[in-house]
Amino acid sequence: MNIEVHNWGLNVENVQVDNVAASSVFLIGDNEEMNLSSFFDTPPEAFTIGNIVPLAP
Amino acid sequence: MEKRTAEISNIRTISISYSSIFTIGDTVTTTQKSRGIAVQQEGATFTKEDNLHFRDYPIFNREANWLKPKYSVHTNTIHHAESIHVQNVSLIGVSSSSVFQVGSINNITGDARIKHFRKLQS
Repeated sequence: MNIEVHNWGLNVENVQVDNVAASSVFLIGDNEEMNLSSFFDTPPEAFTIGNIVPLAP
Repeated sequence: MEKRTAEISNIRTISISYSSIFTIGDTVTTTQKSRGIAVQQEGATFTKEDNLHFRDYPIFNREANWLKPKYSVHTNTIHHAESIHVQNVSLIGVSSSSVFQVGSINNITGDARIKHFRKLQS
């Protein structure tokens, strides 16, 4: 598959961002290839009340 | 890849932390990896036993399933305007191996793993 991209202007007037975190990217410009992967884990046993030792690691 | 010059009038960032990158210009490749265990624990003093280690949790050494492109794509980019204009960017925080860039970048590979814990006393 062939794609031809014609870029004329790239003008950013005003951007407000709070936070860019955890291997993220905030890019103003060009890019060819971007591979981002993320794992997020909050298992039920992550929430323990009292000194019960969580069963699974 | 054709390059463009970045013309910036005003960028305000407060904190760039934990191996993060702020770049004005061009980059070829970035490989970013960040791992985190976030613990919210009730109590005043914490001892050594409260420490959690990455090796104890399988999430941190699981293989990430990277997507394989189905077919090959050939992109031909022509820049008619030579520069990138940025007036105002206000960015509070860039943290845990993140990238804030104005300019061109060819390949980016990022892998982030976060595990949360909330331990309350009864």
